[in-house]
Amino acid sequence: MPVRAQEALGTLPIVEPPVVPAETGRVEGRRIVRFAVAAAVMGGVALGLVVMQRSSGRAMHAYDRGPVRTESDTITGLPSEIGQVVTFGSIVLRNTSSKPAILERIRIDPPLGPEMSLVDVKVAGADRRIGCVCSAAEFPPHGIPAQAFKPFDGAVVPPRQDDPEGLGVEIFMGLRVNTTGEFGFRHAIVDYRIGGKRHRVKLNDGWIGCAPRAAYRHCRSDAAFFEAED
Amino acid sequence: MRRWQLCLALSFLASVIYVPAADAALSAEDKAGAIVAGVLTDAADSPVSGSLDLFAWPTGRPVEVGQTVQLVPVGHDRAAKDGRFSIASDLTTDLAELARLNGGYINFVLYGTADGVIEETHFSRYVGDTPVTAQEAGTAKRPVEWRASPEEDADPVRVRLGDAAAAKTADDRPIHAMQGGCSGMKLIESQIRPTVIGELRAPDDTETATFAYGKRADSEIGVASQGGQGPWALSGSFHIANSQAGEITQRATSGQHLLVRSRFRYDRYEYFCPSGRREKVVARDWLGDYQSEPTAVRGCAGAPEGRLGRYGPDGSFHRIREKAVQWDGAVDVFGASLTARSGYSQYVRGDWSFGGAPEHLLCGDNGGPLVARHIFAGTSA
Repeated sequence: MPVRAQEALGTLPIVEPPVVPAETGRVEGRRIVRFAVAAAVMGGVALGLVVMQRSSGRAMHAYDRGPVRTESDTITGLPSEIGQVVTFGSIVLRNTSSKPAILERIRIDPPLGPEMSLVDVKVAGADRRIGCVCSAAEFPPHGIPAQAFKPFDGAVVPPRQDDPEGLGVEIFMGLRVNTTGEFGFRHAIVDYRIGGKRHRVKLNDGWIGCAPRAAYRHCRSDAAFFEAED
Repeated sequence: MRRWQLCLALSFLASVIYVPAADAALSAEDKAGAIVAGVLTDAADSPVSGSLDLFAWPTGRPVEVGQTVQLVPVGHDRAAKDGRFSIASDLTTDLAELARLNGGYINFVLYGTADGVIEETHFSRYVGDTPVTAQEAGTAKRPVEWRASPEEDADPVRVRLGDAAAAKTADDRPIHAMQGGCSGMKLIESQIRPTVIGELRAPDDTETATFAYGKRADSEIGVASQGGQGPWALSGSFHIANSQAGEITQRATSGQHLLVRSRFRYDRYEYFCPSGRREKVVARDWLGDYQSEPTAVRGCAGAPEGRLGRYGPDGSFHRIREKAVQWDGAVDVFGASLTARSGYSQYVRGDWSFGGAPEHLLCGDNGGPLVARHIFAGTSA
């Protein structure tokens, strides 16, 4: 009988493979394992993101809010000669929490232009023996024991139970006017951490420096000076 | 289906993760809700159940001697055995108008009653005086945050009922909301009296020191009330924050220590409660002038080191937001001695410009000059 290769001899019905209980269990088991692995990976990624976000994100606070604060809203001014480094010390941080706060970073807001330079930043705790040297014609200011001055980075603002007199930590900025005129800033922004939590506080203690003294008897000290900047 | 569930779970996780920590911190501080909450107590300071009725006082609305003012009913609550109560409200058109007339503050009278004993207390809340937006124009109410001041949250109130024998209602009938069971708030007399708004102290070698107040008033002045011929008793305070054409500026020179007063108008009202005729004295508005007088020298000699602040040659110092200072006996009016507290905002400021001496000393009563309530000056005691 001739056989034509193109012609089907017959058809077979398509059938499902036989159900073998052990085989089904293995397939289902593999699916569960795959799902568990995927879920674990996703969970790990999510946890990592949470940790990363919490460690890099900062709680933002105004000058009178948050665990470390000043509760002061001031402007301090001092005339100087061009190139003279003077002290601005009207920022006193107090820690209202029960854990020490570690200072991490300070920056001026808005940033200084070339007319004024931030030469150095130091801090001093209770051993400075004064509420504040709010302004001084020299830097660091006279009258404070040399050993009281510490670098800003890593300085500790003691918790409230360790600072019963509320002396806190004073920030001393060494500032220099580089050209004739009046220049300053309205805010300083301080980053700190308490335990694993990071914070940022925007302070309202501003500074106006002016030079030379022959041209400026006093620097202005009113908030209107900054209105254009804010 | 499982993939869909997985996606849903991951979306949920992502939404949790990306709530910024900063927002979380702010939302915790961002409280809205009750105008007043607190505890009702008896004369022994034990919580009691009772009734609370809240009314707004029409500070800023014109009133003539002989006229009866209408208080604005705001809310009612019933304290349970633990004495706790809370009265909430949106900002109605009436209340928004009162806030506009008084620099964003609304003054309230809270009547507490229990077992026929009635007590009233006075307080204020800040809601701001921003204009109503076009979207809000057609609505009778809008949500608002009730604050003690722009910077301060409202504290709970403790309404302590007086001695039952003195304040008991005539027939022990329950008090229902209509001025807490009292009626007929009639203005019987007005007086204008100088009231302490601040102090100004300048150390030696000061070129100028300035105390500025206004152009909006910012003083919380005690409210006194009396029953029958009894003595005046303080029962809270009202905030006066009306505006005038300009700020007042008191100046001082080297070594001067001044007490600064400004004139406020005070009203004496009579009204009738179930216990009988009563009177109260409330501040109405600020008149925008000032006067000063020398006051006792308070220097920094002997002040704790932590309260001292030192300033360099020709330096200047400007406190933009003063701290609230309470002055007892700030004003005597109608025989009542009232307290006054000024300094919640940018409407009270202090400013010093020093001379060429190497250093100048300021100090505070409860902290350094950056934060203290009272600033003392100079090297004397």
